[in-house]
Amino acid sequence: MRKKQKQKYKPLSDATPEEMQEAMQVASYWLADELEGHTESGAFSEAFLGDEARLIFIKKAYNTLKSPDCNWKWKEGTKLSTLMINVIRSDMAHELRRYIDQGKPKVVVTSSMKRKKGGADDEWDDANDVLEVDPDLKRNDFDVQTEMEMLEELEREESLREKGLKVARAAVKGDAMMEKFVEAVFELPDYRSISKKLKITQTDVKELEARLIAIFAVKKKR
Amino acid sequence: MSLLEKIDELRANSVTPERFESVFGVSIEEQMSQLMAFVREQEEAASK
Repeated sequence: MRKKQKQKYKPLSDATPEEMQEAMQVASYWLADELEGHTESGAFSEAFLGDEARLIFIKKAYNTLKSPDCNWKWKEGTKLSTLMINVIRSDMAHELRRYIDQGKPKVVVTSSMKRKKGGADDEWDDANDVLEVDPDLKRNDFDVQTEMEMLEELEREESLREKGLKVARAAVKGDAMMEKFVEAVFELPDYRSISKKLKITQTDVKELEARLIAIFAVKKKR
Repeated sequence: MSLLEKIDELRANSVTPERFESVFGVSIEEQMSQLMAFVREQEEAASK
């Protein structure tokens, strides 16, 4: 049995200006694929982010990676662009949460009746009159908006999954075993389920994964 | 490198400069020029 090698990391200060420039370019292209059709409105719009998504995510990732307190680790043998994309993906998830949280109502509306101080018995506020409320709530469309945002996000995730599956299918076309493996990877959650479905050992599954990664490595050059 | 990271790389490599421009409305050259200007600003600020 092979002994698992300990992961080694290199300091981010080792990154050369050329590596940083290449990482920014690769991340820019990745963002184009990731954000296509999602920058006009919503969590990745300039109105929400305060700058264009194509710039702000890369600038923030650069500052994160340059910070002495950076918690991200640069694995030996991997490109800086890989790390930068991971940082950006994390930041995008954070912005999306911030966007969804911002839409939540700040005022809880109850329908309890309130007696006017010193007033007569007939001076009750109408229980149906909402006095102070989020404008979206007043329009009664807050829930609909939130659900639509969630739906949009689910659709976005689904679309990204489809994109990933499409490139993986194209990469292994013609290799029956690899074709089955790719379908299983996108359908099942872990090595165990994949090995059960394909009736192979988990070691075999890991070897197929390594083969798929190797295929990508060969095809990646433009 | 994980499978997801490889797919990310492949996705990035599949985007042409023309597609980048159609998505963001600026050329990749302009994008890189703006990013490099930002890097220079950051480096200048750090050296002060």
